Amino acid sequence: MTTTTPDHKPAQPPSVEAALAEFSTCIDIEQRTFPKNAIQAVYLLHLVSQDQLYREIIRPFMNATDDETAHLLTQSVFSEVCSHCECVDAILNGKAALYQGNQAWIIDLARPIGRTIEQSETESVIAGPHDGFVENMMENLAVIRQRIRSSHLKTVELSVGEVTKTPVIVAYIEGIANPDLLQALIDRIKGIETDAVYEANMLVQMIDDNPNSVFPQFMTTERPDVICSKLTAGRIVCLVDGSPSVFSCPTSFFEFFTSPDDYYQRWQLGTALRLLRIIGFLITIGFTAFYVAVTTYHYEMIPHTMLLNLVESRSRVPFPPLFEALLMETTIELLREAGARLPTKIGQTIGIVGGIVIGQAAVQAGFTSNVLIIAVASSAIASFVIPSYIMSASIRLIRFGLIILAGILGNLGLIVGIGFIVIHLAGITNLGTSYLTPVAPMNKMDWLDSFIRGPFYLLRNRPSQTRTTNTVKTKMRK
Amino acid sequence: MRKGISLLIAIVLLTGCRDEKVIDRLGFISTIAYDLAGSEQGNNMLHISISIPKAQPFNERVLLSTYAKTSKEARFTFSRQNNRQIVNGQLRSVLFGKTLAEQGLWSRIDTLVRDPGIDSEVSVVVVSGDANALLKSKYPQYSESRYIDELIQTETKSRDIPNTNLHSFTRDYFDDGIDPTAPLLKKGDMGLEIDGIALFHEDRYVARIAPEDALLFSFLTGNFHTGDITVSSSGGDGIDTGDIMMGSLSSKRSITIRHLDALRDGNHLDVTIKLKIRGSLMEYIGPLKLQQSADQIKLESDLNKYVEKKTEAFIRRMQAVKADPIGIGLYARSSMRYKQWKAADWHDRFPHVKVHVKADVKIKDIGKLQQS
Repeated sequence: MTTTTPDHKPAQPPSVEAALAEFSTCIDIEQRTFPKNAIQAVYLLHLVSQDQLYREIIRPFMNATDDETAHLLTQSVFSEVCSHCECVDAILNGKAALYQGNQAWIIDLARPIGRTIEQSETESVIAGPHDGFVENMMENLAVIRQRIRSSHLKTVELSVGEVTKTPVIVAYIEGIANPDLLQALIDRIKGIETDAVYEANMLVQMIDDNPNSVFPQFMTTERPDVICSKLTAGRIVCLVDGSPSVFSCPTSFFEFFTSPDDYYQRWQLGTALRLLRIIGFLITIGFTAFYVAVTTYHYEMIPHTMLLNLVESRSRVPFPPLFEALLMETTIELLREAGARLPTKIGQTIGIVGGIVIGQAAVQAGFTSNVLIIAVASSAIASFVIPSYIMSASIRLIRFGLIILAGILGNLGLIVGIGFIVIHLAGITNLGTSYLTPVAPMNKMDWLDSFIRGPFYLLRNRPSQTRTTNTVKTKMRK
Repeated sequence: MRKGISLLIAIVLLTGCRDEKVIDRLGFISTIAYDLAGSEQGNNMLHISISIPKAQPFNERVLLSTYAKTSKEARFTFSRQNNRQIVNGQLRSVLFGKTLAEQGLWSRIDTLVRDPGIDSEVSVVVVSGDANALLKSKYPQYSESRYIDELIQTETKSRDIPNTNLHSFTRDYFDDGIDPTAPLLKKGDMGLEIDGIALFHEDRYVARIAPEDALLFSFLTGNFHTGDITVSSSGGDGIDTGDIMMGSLSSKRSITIRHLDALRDGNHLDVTIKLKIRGSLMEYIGPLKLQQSADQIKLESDLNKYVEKKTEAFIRRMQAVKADPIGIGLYARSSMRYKQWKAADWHDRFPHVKVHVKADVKIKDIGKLQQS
């Protein structure tokens, strides 16, 4: 099913009857008749603001004569429409349609629905702006405009979903963003044929180059300052109505390891944090797998001072290291998932139960070795260091594959697994640009702002991945 | 798709075909001791012991001992006795009895080097006496394998003994112009004791440097930056240094080769070993008044004479047993043509080489008092 609404002939004249027929059996449609001047207003009850409705329609038209009505309708807030189809669209968007005979006018009475701007829960920072995007797309655009006061910030409006008709805005900075990439993105969004899109994270999965990859290929964020930095870097951003996430493209794998606070702190600290995240990534992906490989195959690699302790705690465990590790990793994932679904207060209890009860008791009961608990816990903690929740979840999933490979083939399996991941990453493209930029293709200037966060006077160029013609962003000297 | 399925099937079916070594089912050999068996066991028989540390109780170990022709044969015997699979990837040190070392160690070390699971940094130790007995004894310190290992590590750091492991032994054995050395260990009253340095001719133990002289010997073998030395010579042999203890020693060695004949045929060599030794005086009990600079200079020249006399005596002994642990041969080799080098065995040339030592001892720091 791709469409539910019947096709309208563009020429169908507006009429109350047609409108009411369109919305038959919708309990929130309301029709109001003003007998004195034969005006009929049609609107969706909960989409319009009651205040405005009273002020703009009910009070003026209640006792207006024909002449007064004609005068009222010349006001700029009313715009005349001449097709039924336009009327229906307007009503769906929270406007009211006024009918008089064969003529129709519409007036915008939409009231803001949704929460006000508040801090993003998934991407909180300590230093830096605390506002986050909300579900209302226009408000999000306003937040962006407030930060980038330039008429070069252009937008293209699109709509996705045959049923939901979700508005989508593609925004870019003219003169910086590459027009070919922009066109490619617009074409892809236009090419989506589906019923419904509710979220930016859902939309990106319909337009990415490698739909079967486990890695997210578009950077989504809820932070306006991140999106503004992407825009000025020459990337193209896309806002989806009803979603607090905004995505930017083209995206590189290493963008998921950057956080806005890298720029708000001194560059040495920003660099240290980025390196820390990369270490965290390696720990998450490989530490437990390495434990399994070493305890199953490579006892030679264990430092001899640690060996006897490890043997002692392993000797009470009835399972081979592979099952032991999978068991504990699954437990940690259960805890994490349970904590995410529960309200904060109960979530804390889960943390205590998980941390103390399972951690301590599992070792004492001879369920796991205490070194494994350390490995599993540190790889779980390290996974949360990665700022993007979506990327961190992907990496946690890959870890299971590596653990199994390490359990079957030891360090060889671990290396084979990492090799597969690297090959896969190297094959991913995003709007035709390489996902592994700036490693492949190599670009040394980009390294200053990916693995490390160089001082601002060195960050002269925009990222090469954006294929911008306007490359210089900083001209300042030291 | 078919490829993927066959890969999956292979992975599932081949999981049994793996060389699994789960750590809690292994017995790790930490020390091996080799001795020649007595005559009642027959010739060519070895007495081999292994020590496997146990996790609980702490410092306990399993000690297995057998008589066998080769070490691999002994492994089979041990496997039959032990409940866990015996592996040698965590081997720390190998002990050889003195009588076995006198017969030659290469065939034993070859077996160890051949095994890829054995680290090349495993210490090679010669025991003055019976290696098996040393391993079997209980010590109040750590478990014996850890005790041996740590003793050798710390003594190597203070330059009392050379750092001999499987790699360096093999390298020095095969390299022309140098012979291996190894630390000597013996069982003392309180525990283990370093008993000096074993010198080898090829792979045969031929001479011993006493532990008191070990640091003087290590002046000859290379450069180092830390070490302490005690000198005690009270005029008996013409040098009266008194009792001296020097600390923070650093030493630099340089070897120059001079051909005495014009043909440079390699048979008439004159070797000068220069030792540049710097240290601070920690203790002095003797006749000199060290706050006076003249006496300081005299002490330095006395020390020079002492070092020269002692080290030259070592070299005479090495020449007598045809062992060259210093590697003078390496310098000689690079000073002549390959054909001339190959013309004779270095071990036959070495006793006829004239070796001189020139010491240059400087005391950096003499104390707080100075008289002008």
